[in-house]
This record gives sequence, C-alpha cells and structure tokens, in this order.
Amino acid sequence: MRSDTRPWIWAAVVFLITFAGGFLFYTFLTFILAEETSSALIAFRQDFLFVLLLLFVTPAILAGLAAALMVNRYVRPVEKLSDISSLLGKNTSLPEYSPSGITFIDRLGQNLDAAAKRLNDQESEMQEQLRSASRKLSRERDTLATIIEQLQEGLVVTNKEGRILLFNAPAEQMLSLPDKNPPTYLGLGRPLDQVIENAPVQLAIDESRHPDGNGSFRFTVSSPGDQLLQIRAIPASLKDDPDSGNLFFIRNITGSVLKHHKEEEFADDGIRRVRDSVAGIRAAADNLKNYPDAGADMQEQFLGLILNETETIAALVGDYQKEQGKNKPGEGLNQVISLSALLGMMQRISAQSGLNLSFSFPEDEPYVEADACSVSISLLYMTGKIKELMGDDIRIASESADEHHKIKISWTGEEPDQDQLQNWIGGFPEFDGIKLPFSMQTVMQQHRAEWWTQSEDGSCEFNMILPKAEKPASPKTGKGHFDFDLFQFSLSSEIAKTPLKKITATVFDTETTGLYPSDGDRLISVGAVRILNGKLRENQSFHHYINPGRPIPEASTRIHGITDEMVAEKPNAAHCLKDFYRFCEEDIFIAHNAAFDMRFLELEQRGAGVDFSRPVIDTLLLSTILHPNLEGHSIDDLATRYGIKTETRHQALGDAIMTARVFLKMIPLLAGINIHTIEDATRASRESVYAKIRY
Amino acid sequence: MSKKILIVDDEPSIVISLEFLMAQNGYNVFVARNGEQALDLIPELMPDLILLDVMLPNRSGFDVLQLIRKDKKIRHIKVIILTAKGRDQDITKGISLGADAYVTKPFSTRALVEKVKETITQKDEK
Repeated sequence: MRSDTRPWIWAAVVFLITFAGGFLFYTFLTFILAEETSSALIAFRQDFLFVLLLLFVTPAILAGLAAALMVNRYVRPVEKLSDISSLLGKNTSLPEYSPSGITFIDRLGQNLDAAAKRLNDQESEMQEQLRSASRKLSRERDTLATIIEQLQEGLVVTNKEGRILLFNAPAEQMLSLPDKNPPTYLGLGRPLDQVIENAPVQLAIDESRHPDGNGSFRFTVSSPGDQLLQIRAIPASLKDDPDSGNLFFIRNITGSVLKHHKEEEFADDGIRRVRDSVAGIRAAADNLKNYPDAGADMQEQFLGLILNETETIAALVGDYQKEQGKNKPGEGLNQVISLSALLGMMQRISAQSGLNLSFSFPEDEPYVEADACSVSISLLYMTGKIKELMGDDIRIASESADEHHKIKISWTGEEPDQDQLQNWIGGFPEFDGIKLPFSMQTVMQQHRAEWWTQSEDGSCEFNMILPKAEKPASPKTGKGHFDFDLFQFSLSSEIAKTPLKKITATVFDTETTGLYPSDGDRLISVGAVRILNGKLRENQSFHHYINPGRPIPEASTRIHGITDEMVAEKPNAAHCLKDFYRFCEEDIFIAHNAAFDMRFLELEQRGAGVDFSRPVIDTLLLSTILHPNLEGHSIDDLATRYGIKTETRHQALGDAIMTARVFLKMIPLLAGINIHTIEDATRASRESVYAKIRY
Repeated sequence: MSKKILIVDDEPSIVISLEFLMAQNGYNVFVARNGEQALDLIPELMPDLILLDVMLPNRSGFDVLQLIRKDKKIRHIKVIILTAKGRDQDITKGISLGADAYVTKPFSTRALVEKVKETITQKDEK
C-alpha cells in the first residue's frame, strides 16, 4: 500500500515546506525593510490577512499537488521497472510492462522487455544445447559400451598408473575369480597388476610406449583358474597427452597353446620318424645295389626291412593326414620382432632390476618370431642364475646365420653341469617380479628353439637359437594413430581466391566397418552430392555400396544399418572409387570430420589407381571456429543449430546432403568473421584445435 | 688292425644296414642301442669313430656328445652325428658341441662311407 499513500505524503511535505517558506519570507521582510515600509506591510496583514494567507497557501497547495503527480507519473513506473529488472536472469517469466505514457520511461521498459526476451531465448537455446549435448554424450557412451560389450576379447582400460578405469564382461569372466585360491577381483580403481599376480603391467605400459617397439606389448600370464591368458597392451595415447592410459586386450589361449604344442610335437615327431624309416629303406636299398655278393640271407633281410619301413611310412602318413583334418593350423602365438628390439627390451628390464650386464646389438636387422616377453624373461632368469652361481662379467650378444639367429650369454667362470641346467630349464622363469606361467623348457618348445652350453678355459656360453623370421611386410611405426595432415595441399591461387558463396565442390561422406583403418576397417559405402556455384544440386548425387571383403561388425551395422548380405553382391572398393573419382573429378572436397573419410579414401585409392589429393574443407573444423564456445559440433548438432530438417541419417548420401546444407548455412556466418574465400576457410581451419585430431 | 666304429642308434633297421655297410668297408663294428649303453661301452672299447644318432631314448645324442667332449680320456674320439631332425638348429648345436661331422637322414650310403673315411683319417686337432 506504500505506493498509494506516498504521493500524498510527498504532497503534504512539499505543501508544508512551501507554506513555511512563504511565512519565513514574510517575517524576514518585516525585519529588513525600513520602518515605514514594514509598518505598511504589517498594516496590510492586519487589514487583508485572508489575501496574504491565500498568497502563501495557493503555491504551497500547487507545489504539493505537483509533487504527488511527479511521484505517481515518474517515480512509480521507474520503480516498477526496477522491480521487473530484478527478476532478469532469475529464470522466471517477467510481468508484462504496461506503458506509462512517458516516452523515455516507456522506451526503457521496451528495452528491458526486449532484453528479457533475448535472455529467455538464449537460455532456452542453451538448455536445448545442453540437452542435445548430453543426448550426444549418452549416445556416444552407448555406442562405446556396445562396442566394448561386443568384443570377443577381454578389454581392460587403465590409467597411466595401471589402475583400472573400465573393463568388459569377457575380461571380468577371465580375471574376476572370487571362488579361486587365491581369489581375484577385477574392480574399478584397482591396480591391474594386483588383480593378476606377477603380471608385468608396468613393463607393458613402458614397453608399449617405447619408440623402438611396435606400439604394443604382449605377455602371457596364468589366471588363478589355471588358464593361460595372453594380454596385449596398447597405449591409449592421444597426441597431446602421451600418458593417457593403456588398453589391455585379453585372450584365453589355453586351448590354442595346447593345440599348437600338440601339432608341433606331432609334426616334429612325424617328420623324424619318416626320415628314420626312409633312412632305413635307403641304406638297405643301397646295400642291395652296391653289394650284390652279400649272401641270400642278408639280401632277404634287406628286402624285409624295406617292406617293413614302407608300411611304417604308410601308417605314419595316414595318421598325419587324419590329424591334419582334425586340427586347423593353430593361431600364431608369437609376433615377429627384431632381435635388436628384443635385446633392447632385455637391457631395459635388467637395468631396472639393477643387474649389470653388457649388451652388444646386431648391426643388421635380424628378425625372429617370438613372444618377446617370455624370451626376455627366460634369458634374464638364466642370466640371473649364472650371475648368482657361476660367474661374472656377463655379456649378451646375438649372432646370425642363414636359417637362424643365436642369442649368446657369455660369462667368465664355471659352466653349470647337465643336471643343474635341466633343473633351471625345467623351472618357471622369474625375473624382477615377473613370473612366467610356464617353464623355460616350454618357452623353448614354443619357439622351436635349441639351447646348449659350452665352455673353454673358464670362458662359458649359454646359447639359444631361434628360427629366422621374415621382416614384417609393413612394420608398424608410431602408436597406431595415423598422421594425416588435412592441410598438406597448397591451393592453386585461382581456386584459393574463389569466394565461398561461388564454391563448386563435392560434399561426401563414407560408412565403414569401424573406426580404425589401420586395424583393417574398410569402406562399405560412399555417398556424395555436388554444390555448383554455391548451390546444392541434389540431382547430382553418388551413392554406392562396397563389399569390404571382410565381415561387418554387428556394432557398426547398428549405426548404419548395412549388413553383410546387403553388400555381398556389391563391387569392391577399387571399383567404386574409380566411379567416385569420375563423379567428383577435380572438385575440392567438403566433408564433416574430413580427416576420417580422407584416411579411408587414401587407403583404398591405390587399388583404384586414382588420387584423391586435393583441398578439403571440413565443416567440423569450421564449426569449431564459428562456435568456439558451444559444445556440440556433430552434424546433428549443427543441423539443429541451423534449423535444418534431419533426413536419412547415418546413410552416406543422407549425411553428405546434410553436410552440404550445413556448409551453405555457414557461408554468411563465416563472412561475419572475415572468412570469404576457400583460402580463408582452410587457413582458419588450420588454426582450429580440432585439426589436430589424427586417424 | 682295422678301425673300430661304434654305431649308437635305436632303430633296428638302420642298425642292420649300417652294421653291414661298415663291415663291408672293412671296419670293426659295434652297436649301442641307447646313450647310457654307449657311454658305458666307449671307455673300454675306445672306438676310432662314433656314428651317433641324435634322437635316442632317455639321453639324447647331444648329451652323449657333450659328455664325450668333457672326458679327457675319450674326447679325442671322432663323432659323426646322424640327425633325422635335419633342422638347421640341430646341426649348429651339434657342431658347436664338438661333432666332427654330421649326416642328415636319409643319407646315401656312399656319401656316409666317404664321410666316415674322411673323418676317421683326419688329424686330431683337439
């Protein structure tokens, strides 16, 4: 009610002040005027008091009324505006402002209204973006979860300290064994090497990052369930953060190791026995031929031998064929590794343990097929034994021959006797806290290796020879991330200066079997549409499916809906890319997250005999420049942001059309930040953080 | 006096043929069926040459060879290893352990006889 009485209080106050002012003025006059004038004034008051009072009261009343009016018309609307403004940003809808009729106040009110509306709009847009970002995040999380769930292999992700961040069901099945003795529990936050005892987790993390290695590290451990698990460690490193953790892929190889051993034994033994029999036949036949004078008895015996051995061979061959039919070739348990890398690893492990050994490295680049971890640990275990009991001045070196490579441990001292050696070889190698789940004998068998010791004048050697392996066709370098520089092309000045609104380009998108071209993922669909002179030409489109020559993972089918059956009759990538090249000719490319699609084109282009090198505009990069503070830069986010109707998503042509529309909407926005030409766009993209992403 | 050859092999058929072959070539032939038997026989027999099979039951031919080379009294005896394995690793290992020669099974008897003649008359370098 304050607002009702206040104008009248103000009126009364102004009235009293004005009246009192008049009275004081009168009294003042009577004092300062000359006596005559003053007396006249007093006489006038005595005769015309009423008139004098009217002279005082009338302006006082007028002044009071004016004050009340002022408060009502000017102060109260401003106060109301102030109240309204205090609600700004409080996430409530503001009361409508009713015009007061005073122009400047009403303008203030209108401005406030507009500001409030803008704020509200921005807020709801922000809310929408938040919702879409969290939708996207949860979608990505779901996709990741699906991919991880679908893996046949166990997967454990650790941080750089080896603490578990994530694991899937197969990993849990293999590693979480609460009923066993000792029990193991796979749990988030636990160090992985506590879950699997004696596992060289830290070694794997270090070695998989070592520049001499091939970007991964394999080791074998036995789980408390007496299963042999082969674990492959791969750094999950991003380019900018080399220490971002590790992926551990886990495979139960118990069955394959047994099968492998059985097959190797069978083959080795079979060949030996066949050779023995053939030797018998040949010797007997030679004797028959070369010594015709041998007695009839002897000749009879030789013929009998030949017959017997022939039957033995026939039986052996029969067995072998039966066995061959039963067993498919075992999976290779070892990887091809250079001898230098193997010795380097041994050197690092031994240095860490404080064992002082001298290493000499081969000058050429010999390769062996080996499980690097078990060979290193076995040899270091042997070295440890030698150091402990036999001698000093231990040197480790390699020697190469035509068919094999030899690793030689030499020392000055005594040579172990046969029983001692057999004892060591029969033991489970252990070194610096890493224990192998099998004996050194098994390691030797697994590698078809031979070993022996020899000595002369107190200088002793332990030799191990490993069969030679071919140098791998394309040794993996780096960390498996592909170094694709999107901006490697220099623009010809004519194209470079073309304004974006006059652009002619092919906008394309691909669907693939997965995200990792370096791990064998392939193209399964290419879709494209052309922009001619700044206008989208949907009738100039290209959409082909490709038979990738490999099964399409279910997880990826779920994203794009393309199944093995759909592509079974389709041409291969080379065929499709030849056609695509004819479609796009010399156009520059536009794609969303172009690095990814370009990587696939680049991998397949050689087979097609074409070259897709050309300037590429990436709408993802442009989005990061246009909206550096907004979270979502996916094609969905951009479509929502620009009010583009979503059509067939996750279908190469549909996505290409969406990308084209998004790009056309970006052109005026880019002009606003002084990006007018193709050259401007590529230059600005180069500075975008997203340009650092590698596939 | 004719030279003595000890055949160490567990395959009867090859033993019969080798025995005959070596006898025909004028050698005095003895046979051991496994590594233990061979190690017992060698010091008393003191053969001039041993034809040693690698794949023997219990103690391998490599073990026998290593023990021969460690024993001062018998280390000068010539040893030809007969290997059915035929793998490069075995040959390297055999020569490293002190074999004078190796013959891969199956072999031509003529080549074997040549190899025996050549080895048995070699001057002792040890």
